Amino acid sequence: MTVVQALTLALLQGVSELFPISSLGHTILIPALLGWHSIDRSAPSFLSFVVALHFGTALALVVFYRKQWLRITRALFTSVARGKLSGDRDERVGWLLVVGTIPVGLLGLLLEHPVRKLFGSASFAAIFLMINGVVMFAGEWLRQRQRVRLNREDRPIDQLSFAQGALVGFGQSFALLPGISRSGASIVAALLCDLDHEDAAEFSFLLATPVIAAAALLELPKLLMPAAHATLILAGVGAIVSGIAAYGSVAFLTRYFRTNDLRPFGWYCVLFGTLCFTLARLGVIH
Amino acid sequence: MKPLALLLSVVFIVLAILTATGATSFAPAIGLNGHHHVKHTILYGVLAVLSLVWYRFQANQSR
Repeated sequence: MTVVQALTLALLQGVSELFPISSLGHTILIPALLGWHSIDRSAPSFLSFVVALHFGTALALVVFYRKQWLRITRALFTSVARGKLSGDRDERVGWLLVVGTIPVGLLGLLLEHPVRKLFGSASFAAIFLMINGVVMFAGEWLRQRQRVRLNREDRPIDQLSFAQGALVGFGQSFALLPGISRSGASIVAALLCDLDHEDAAEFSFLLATPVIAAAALLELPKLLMPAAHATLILAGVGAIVSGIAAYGSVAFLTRYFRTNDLRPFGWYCVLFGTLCFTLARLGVIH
Repeated sequence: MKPLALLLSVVFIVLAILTATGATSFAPAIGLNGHHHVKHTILYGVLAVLSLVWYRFQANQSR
């Protein structure tokens, strides 16, 4: 892997992990489009590089939401020590995050490898990217319908039920499929649970933090393997680039979702997915 | 809900022990294999702790 390839992948990871456009799908499609066939995605050095990128992304999220995480962590420990729920907002959000992380934790560990083996090709990534776009359009349409026909109004995050928290968390599990976005799926699920776009995005990013951090921490031994030593500097630089890109992305998206919706990302996914699928069918990319 | 919380705690503790000792080769269909699988042990351990916390909440609520 060259320096240019490493930096491109780091930038791509930092941006696409948080934008609702699927980081996994893009890390399959973009190298395929650029003809980077020399990158061995199963090589230990590449896996350690990916672990470093995830560290960078997770760290950026923790830094961005540091005040929320401090309050939430304190509230969680206080409620465990007390043995009771008090109705405090941070405590409620904290337990919603715990409940929302369980489904993706379970499904991720049990299904990640078989799913990636089955659907790891560019064609599948392109198809799922198109589906991701359609899901975002459908989510916006259903939300609009709920508001107009059923007269449902927005509510804050802490008024979600635990079942709804689990449902939003479960939405993240679809991101095991390359092309389906973790943040896209969870934002759509949160919108359908009557959060507004800003709160849905915040809840989605808070939910993503433990998942991305755990994925990186559990793979930590890969960074210590002898094969990883040769690319340690590259991995370090990649983590910094990915972290800066992720921080910029979350800062942009939290502002963007104050006044905008998912449809532009839906268009992007449908169009880029269609282009990649066509190229894959023509044999231009694999 | 209290009995369910307790049952889940016991189930996850047993699963954590089984995966830690590598005694799960009988159940490959649910993702458990004979390897010493640290990730699964951590997952089941965390779930066991969460189930115990849930049990504690339920126990205090019913008092």
